[in-house]
Amino acid sequence: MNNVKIPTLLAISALFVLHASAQDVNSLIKKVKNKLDNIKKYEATGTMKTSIAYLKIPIAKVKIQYKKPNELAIKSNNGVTFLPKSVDAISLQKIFSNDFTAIDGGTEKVKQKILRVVRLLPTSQQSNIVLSTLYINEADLVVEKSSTTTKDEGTYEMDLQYGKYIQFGLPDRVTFTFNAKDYKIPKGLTLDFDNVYPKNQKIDKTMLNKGKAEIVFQQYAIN
Amino acid sequence: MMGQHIVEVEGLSKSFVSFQAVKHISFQIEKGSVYGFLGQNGAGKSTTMRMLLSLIQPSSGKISIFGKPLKGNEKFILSNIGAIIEKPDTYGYLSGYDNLKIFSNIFGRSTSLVALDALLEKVGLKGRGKDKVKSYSQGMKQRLGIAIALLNEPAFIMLDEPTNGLDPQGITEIRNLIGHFSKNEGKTVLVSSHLLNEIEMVADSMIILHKGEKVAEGKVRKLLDPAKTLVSIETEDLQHSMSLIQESLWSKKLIAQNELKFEMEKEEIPLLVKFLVDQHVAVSNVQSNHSLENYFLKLTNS
Amino acid sequence: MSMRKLLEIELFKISKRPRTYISFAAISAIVLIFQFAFKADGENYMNLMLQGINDSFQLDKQHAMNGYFMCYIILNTLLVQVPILVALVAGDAISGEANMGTLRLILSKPISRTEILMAKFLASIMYTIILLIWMAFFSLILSLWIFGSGDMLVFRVAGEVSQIMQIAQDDIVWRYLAAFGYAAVALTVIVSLAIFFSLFAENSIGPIITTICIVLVFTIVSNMNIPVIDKNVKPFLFTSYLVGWKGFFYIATTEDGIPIKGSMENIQSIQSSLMILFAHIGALLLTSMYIFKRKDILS
Repeated sequence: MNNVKIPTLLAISALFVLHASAQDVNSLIKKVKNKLDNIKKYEATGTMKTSIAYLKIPIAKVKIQYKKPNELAIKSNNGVTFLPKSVDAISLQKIFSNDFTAIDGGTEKVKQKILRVVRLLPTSQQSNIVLSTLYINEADLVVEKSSTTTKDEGTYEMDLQYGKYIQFGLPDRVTFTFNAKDYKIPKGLTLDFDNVYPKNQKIDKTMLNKGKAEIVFQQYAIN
Repeated sequence: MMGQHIVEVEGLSKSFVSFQAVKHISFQIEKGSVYGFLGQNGAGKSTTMRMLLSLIQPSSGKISIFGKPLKGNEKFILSNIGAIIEKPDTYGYLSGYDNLKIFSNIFGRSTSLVALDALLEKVGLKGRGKDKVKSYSQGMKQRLGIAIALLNEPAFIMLDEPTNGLDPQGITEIRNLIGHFSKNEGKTVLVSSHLLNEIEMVADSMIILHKGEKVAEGKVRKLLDPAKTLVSIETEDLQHSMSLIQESLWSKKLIAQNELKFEMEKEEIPLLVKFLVDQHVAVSNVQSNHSLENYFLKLTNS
Repeated sequence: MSMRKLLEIELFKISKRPRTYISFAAISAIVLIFQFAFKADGENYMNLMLQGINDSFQLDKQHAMNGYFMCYIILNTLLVQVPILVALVAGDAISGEANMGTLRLILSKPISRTEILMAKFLASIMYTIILLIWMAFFSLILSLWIFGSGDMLVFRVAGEVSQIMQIAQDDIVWRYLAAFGYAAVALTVIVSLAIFFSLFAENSIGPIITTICIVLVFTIVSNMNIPVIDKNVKPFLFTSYLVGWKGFFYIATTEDGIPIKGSMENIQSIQSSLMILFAHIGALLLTSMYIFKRKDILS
């Protein structure tokens, strides 16, 4: 009788802990989501620096517009601006707009902080997102880092820094990496000056298929 | 005397890759005279003239013009020469005025229409200044060439085959112009031609070139021998005519065995014809070769 | 006889020949055709150039196809063909006069052969510069009027890597001025070459065709990607440096890949290319003078 009781007790305790932990993660996610849900719309001005091996483009002045539930658009007044298409795909609001199962991933030290790791598994087969891993600052209820794997565009990573808009869950700076196809100009079109790559420039070959965009938000007009 | 010679050429030669065009020729041109270059086509006349104008570098020899060596003094010498070498080519796509303006500018002369019109009138092209040169006749182009040659009021004029392509009136006008330059304006003129009559009529002195060599040089009158007229007579009875001639003093003038060919003074021709007619010989044709032509042919055939 | 007067005479003669204006007409026609084609269907060209990027980025292609971009595309093509047009005039310099019979007329005047050759050389250069100004008007000014202005995209192959560089709108005009200046020097090499060949002929066709053939053959060799030729032949071909004007549009970047305004990626390369071009001009000119001074004028 005693032999059966202890393992059972342990199993029941584990279930309680798990349930409590799951409750804890779900509750955390809910709080983070609710914070973001308070924003019906915002318009922010800022700059965007895009880094990818084949693009040498200046920092662009951009306007970011968000409308609930998950309409995110980046525009530029410059006219000639390369805007990463994937920005919309990896916005937090977009991630949270899916139905998902949250799994506790424990904690991890990121940027000198202990952040809660939560993995979100969308429940719908139609969802483009396969898995999102969020690194959440529990104290401020903000996501500081995310890694999202999609069906079509591979994996994106996002790093968020917060400042005076942290109470709204809106970052001051977002850096995200995305996958890009290798770029080759059709042959014979350019008649180039020197075929030898200039010695004073380095090619980061790891960045040939990977892009990085860094958006600095300067001003938010919220709701 | 050296001071009287405007041009002095000594031992002038020019060799090209495949042949020697001019072979050690020497001559002098007196100031104020008309000097003739006579020779068949390819004799070396134009080549020599081109060397005088520094268009061709001599292989050897010396050229002195206006008392100065040509080499090193080209600018001074050429500024006092007016020349037409071979055809009087100009810019066909430009008008007569434009052509004259170009060369007037080169010489620093007036390019006013008044000055240009005066020049055109002098060479018989009055009223044609506005027309494009490609619309000119050959004679008109020749006149324009002469006008350009006269732009800088040269002391020495070189004319290479100046009557080529001209009608008889044009030829006469050019001859008169040459005479005028020399007699009235005191210019020295060098004229080249393969037409023997031309040289005889205009030149005071001449040089005869054959295959690049000088075969004769001197005063035209001295070179011409009045006794060297070649006469050829055709009669209806050659045998009878020959026997009559051989029995007469005319036999001394006979230069052929089986033909009535004589060498005599020009004035004697009618006397010979009268002699034959008086002997009841029917004379059907009389031909006389120009004295200079005879001389030239003789020289160049030897 | 001053050089200025001689130059005026040469320019006067050039201006009076109908063939002079063929080049201007040709350039105008080519540029207008380009502009019409791009106005009608430029988006397809941009899609072609941007294939692969379209999946990852969105770009306002209409804004990208502005006047500065258009001018770059046009010059890319035109500056390959302009040497032919330049050779048309320069190749006629001496041989044209010989053909007309006016060479002996000019040279029997009190002007040195060096002065005549220099006057013809300078006149051909002035013609080239006027042609470039005409080209600049049509390809840049007119393009800006038709397509508007904006930042400029430069597409480039550097080694194995394709690149797109974006130059800010206020950083472009000086680059075009410099590029046209470079093109003038490059075309002066063609002028020198054509005049050099002109010395040997009494008909303009020969020097013109010879110059064009040399430019074509050398250009083909310059664009071959064979290692042996890259090292041993290309550096010695002047055609390898004819497209050096594009170097003014290769903007330097920070380590992060951000273009630095007012900069050039490889200024030493441009400088050395210019020196090589000037060396070609000097060598051809000096050789031409040497030959012309000793040439027997038989025409």
